[in-house]
Amino acid sequence: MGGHGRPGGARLLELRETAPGLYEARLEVGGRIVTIQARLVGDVLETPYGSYHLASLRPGAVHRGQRTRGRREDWLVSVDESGAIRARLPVKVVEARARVGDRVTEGQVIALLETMKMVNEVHAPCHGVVEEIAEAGRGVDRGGVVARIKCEERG
Amino acid sequence: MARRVLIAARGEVAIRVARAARELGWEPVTIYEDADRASPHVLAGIVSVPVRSYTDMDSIIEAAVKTGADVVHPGYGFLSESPEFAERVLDAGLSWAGPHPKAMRMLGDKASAKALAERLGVPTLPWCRATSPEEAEACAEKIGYPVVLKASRAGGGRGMRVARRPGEAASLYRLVAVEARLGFGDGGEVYVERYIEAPRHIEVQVLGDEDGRVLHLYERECSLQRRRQKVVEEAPSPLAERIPGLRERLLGYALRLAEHVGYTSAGTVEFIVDRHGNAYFIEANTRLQVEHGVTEEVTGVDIVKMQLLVAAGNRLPLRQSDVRLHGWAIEARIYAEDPWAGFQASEGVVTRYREPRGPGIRVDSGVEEGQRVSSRYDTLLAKVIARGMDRGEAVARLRAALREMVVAGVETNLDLLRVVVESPWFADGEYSTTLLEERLPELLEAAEERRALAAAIASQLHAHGNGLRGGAAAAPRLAVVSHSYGWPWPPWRG
Repeated sequence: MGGHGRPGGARLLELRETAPGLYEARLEVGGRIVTIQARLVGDVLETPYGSYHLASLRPGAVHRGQRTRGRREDWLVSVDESGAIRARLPVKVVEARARVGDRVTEGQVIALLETMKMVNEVHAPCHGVVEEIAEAGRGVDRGGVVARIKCEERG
Repeated sequence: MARRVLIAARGEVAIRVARAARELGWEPVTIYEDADRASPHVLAGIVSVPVRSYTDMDSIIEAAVKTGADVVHPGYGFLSESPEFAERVLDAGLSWAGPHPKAMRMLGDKASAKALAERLGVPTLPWCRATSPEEAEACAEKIGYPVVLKASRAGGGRGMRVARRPGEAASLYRLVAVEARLGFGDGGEVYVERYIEAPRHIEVQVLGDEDGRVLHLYERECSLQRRRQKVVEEAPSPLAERIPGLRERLLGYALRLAEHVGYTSAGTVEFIVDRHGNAYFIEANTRLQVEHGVTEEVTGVDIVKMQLLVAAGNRLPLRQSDVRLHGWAIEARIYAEDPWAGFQASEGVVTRYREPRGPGIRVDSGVEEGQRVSSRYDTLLAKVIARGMDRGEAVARLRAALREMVVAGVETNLDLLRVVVESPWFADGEYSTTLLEERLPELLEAAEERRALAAAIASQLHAHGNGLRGGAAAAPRLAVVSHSYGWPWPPWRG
């Protein structure tokens, strides 16, 4: 990270030690400049937002792979850049509502998955064509592909 | 006479019960599954006995008999709500630190408890059964929209769908019917029930003894939930404070139910309450609850000790007039889960663990540094309870406590909790059971941003002797000594 942060993260502009173990940091986050005081107590960094074990803030330890935002079934499936919809939990396909080659629109229900004794709808993440879809009755393990949509760029 | 209590639970609650037993001068005995032998609760008793599993009645009763225990305390979870287990404990000549199996059966089954409430004049939500989309629609019309469709009458939130507008009940019926057919419901039936928009979850703690004395310990509010998992609880309820007469009604309903079944030991009667203060009975929990600590903090009554005393055949050492509300208490639950990955249970070794301290702070936990956290068990790591003279003080103490707390090595919801307790709506006590879910994206974003700030600062501190202790460990590249700002908080300007 080296003080540069990541897109969407925070960028450290200046860090001053104002007293032994006491720091004042000037940071840029989301276009705002904030000044924060922090304290280093042994291996624990205390900030007004919370205390952290220094090692747990190592680059890579902070950001997980893809962010999950907004979609209702995010707890159930993840969507990666290739358009693969993967199960986050072991699921069973109750019904496939689309077939390979079908054209789907964003938000359209493409499958019903069962997990934790509940049937859930899976919606298409984008406009596109179904490249792959698990058939009804099949079990899909955690991380397994439920469907794959070839997304179309739209103008 | 020394008594020995076998604790048929694990984690923080086993440690909590062991503490209560020791305070009474009793001897706690714990149990463990092989995979769980390194957990802290194993060392909480005078001895710990391996069992086949935490739900294996035979081996648990055998452990109790072999260790010479005379009381079995089930904690919460596992077998705590099993009347069959309670009966078997009693048949083995042991005492059961819970209600009579008969009361467990009457109140424990959601459908029969609701029927009993209806008979006793305690309000419940109107409902009916549907076997076709047309019936579902007719039923929804009768009850009045919005309604909720469920695959099972007792279903604990599984497969619940909300229909808000005329016509929606019929279309949702098809989805729910699939679930019912898959065998999650009672014979494939679909139930339609009145739905309360943005409801509050308020529950009443009750205590009873063999002499027929039944008391209430006032109410708790547990409206901050995610997928029916409670996250923050408080006592008393902000809504009950605000709406005149609500508390009296809730306490009255709870006592009516508890007295009718001759309730003994500790239990909870749960209600959902709409914004106007209309309360509906939903279910009763015939056991100790995770959030019992907030009630203990505001009433000064040790609920676990009361359970043990009643199990040993004693009368409750207090009367209703002895039970008063003192101030306010709020609990935040720290779970080993990843809020950024759909709240999946997280696993790992706890590499650093620091509990908050100070006036009005209580931490009930079952975690230690170096402990492996497994998703095999309940993901609850610790409960941080803050007590204050009033709600404002409790909130301020909880904020400080969560800020101080450190859990590293395993992903938790701690950052999310910090954002929650600092939210203005939380300070106002303005929330409902659906609020957390609705606001989750913005809360997660705020939590992530805060962590990114800390990480950016840490990135410079790593460069200089990570692992060294104290301020001397870090002499950052950009350091300019100036004493223009000092402690204490709040130190930052935006």
